[in-house]
Amino acid sequence: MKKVYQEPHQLLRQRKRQQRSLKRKKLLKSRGIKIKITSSTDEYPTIEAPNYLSLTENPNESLSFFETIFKNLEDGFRILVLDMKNVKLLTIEVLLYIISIDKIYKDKGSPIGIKIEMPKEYQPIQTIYLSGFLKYFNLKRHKELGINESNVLPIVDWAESKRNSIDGGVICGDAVDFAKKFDSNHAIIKYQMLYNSLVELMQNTENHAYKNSEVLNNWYLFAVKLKEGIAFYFFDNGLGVVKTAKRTLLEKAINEIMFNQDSILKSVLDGEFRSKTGLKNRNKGLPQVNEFLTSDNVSSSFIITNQIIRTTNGKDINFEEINHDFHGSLFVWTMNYEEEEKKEHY
Amino acid sequence: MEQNITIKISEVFSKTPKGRYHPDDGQFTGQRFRDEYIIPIFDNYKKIIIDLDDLYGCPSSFREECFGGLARHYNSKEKVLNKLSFISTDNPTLIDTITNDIKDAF
Repeated sequence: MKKVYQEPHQLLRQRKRQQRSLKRKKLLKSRGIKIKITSSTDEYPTIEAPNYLSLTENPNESLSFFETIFKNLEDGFRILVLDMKNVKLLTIEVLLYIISIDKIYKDKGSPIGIKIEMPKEYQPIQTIYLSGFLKYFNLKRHKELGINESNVLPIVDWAESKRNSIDGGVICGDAVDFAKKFDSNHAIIKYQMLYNSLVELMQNTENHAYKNSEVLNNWYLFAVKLKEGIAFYFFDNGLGVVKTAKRTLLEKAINEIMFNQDSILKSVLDGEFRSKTGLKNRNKGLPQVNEFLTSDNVSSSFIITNQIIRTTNGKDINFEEINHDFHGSLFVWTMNYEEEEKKEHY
Repeated sequence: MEQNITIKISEVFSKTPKGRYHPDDGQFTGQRFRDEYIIPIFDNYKKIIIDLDDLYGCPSSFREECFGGLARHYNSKEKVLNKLSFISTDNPTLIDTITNDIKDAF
C-alpha cells in the first residue's frame, strides 16, 4: 500500500498550490491556450483493496479497507485512489458504500475525489458495469462482456429519485415487477411481503436512521437475478439499527440491560422491542421485514449494522459480532423464484 | 345515514401506498388516505368497507397510521372497529393484522 502522510501545514500549502494551479489552467483555457493535463496519482493516498472485497463474504477485511478510507478523509485528504487491480471478488454493497461516502461529503459541502484503479478480473468488472456504478464515477466503460443487463435492476438512489419527484412506493413497485418477470409463480402474498419489506426499510431510513444527524437521508437499492435466486441489496448509511434502538431506550428512560448488540438487533427484528419500550403501535416495520427474511420465500439473508452481523440460511439464524463499526445498515437477501419451464415445440 | 360504502384503495388512491405522514413520507400515505377518504365520510354511512385487493402491499407504517390513527382520531377503538369492515381476498390474514393495529392504537 502506497500512502503519503503529510503534516497539516504541508497539507495547507499543497491545497493552496493546487488551487493556484487550477486557477492558472482555467485562465489559460479561457484564452484558448491548450494545456496538457497530466494526472498523477503519486500525490494522493492509494488504498489497496483486499482480494475479496465483500461485506457479505469478507466483512472484517472489507470494513478495515473502509476504515482506512475514513481515516484518510479525516486526516484531510480529499482525493483518494482505491486500488482494485487485485480484487478477485467484488460484491455490490461495497459499491453502494463508496457511492454513499462520496455523496455524504458532497452534501456536507466538502466534496472528495475518488479514483478507482479498475480490477483485472471478470467478476468485479461485471459487478461494476452491471450495477450502474459507472454513472457515479468517471470511469471508462469496458467493452461489452456479454453481460445480460435485463437481469439487473440498476442502483436506485433515493436522493436522486426525490429530486426527480419519484414516489418511494413506485420505486418499490418497480422492484417487485422486476423480480416477478423471472418468476413463473406470482404468489400474491410473497410479492406483497417483498413490497412491504422494501417500503419499511425505506421508512426506517427516512424516519429513524438520520435522527439528530447532520447527514442527509439516503438509501440505495439494487437487485440482480442469479442462478440461486433474485438478490436484493438495501443499504442506508444512517446511525444503524442498534444505535437507533439505543437512543429510543434512553429517550424512554428504560432501564433495560441490553448491552449486547445481538440482543438489541434480535429484539428490534422480533418485535419484542415494541413491548419493551411501550410503543405497541410503533416499530412494526422491521419485524415485518424480518418475517419476510425468515419465510420460505427467502433462501438466505444477511444483515450488517453497527458491529453486528445476522445471517439466515433456511431456518438457521446466526449472529456474529465484528471488529469494525459499519456506518449504517445493509440488508441483503436472496428470494426464491421458479423459472418457467421451456415448452418443447414439435 | 346511508347503509354502506365500499372504498377500494387501489382504485381511488394508489396501488403503492407507502408511509405514515403526508407529505414527508410521500404522496400516498396512511395519514392522507385516512384524512381525505375516511374521516370526511365516517359519519355518513353505517358501514365503510375498505377493499384491500390489488395492492402491491399494505406496509405496516401505512396501515397503522391509517387505521390505528383513525382510532386515535376518534379516541375510540370500538367506534372504528364497529364502523369499518374489510375485503381482502388476496391476503385474508391482513384483516386480522389491521384489527390488531386498531386494538394497539393507544
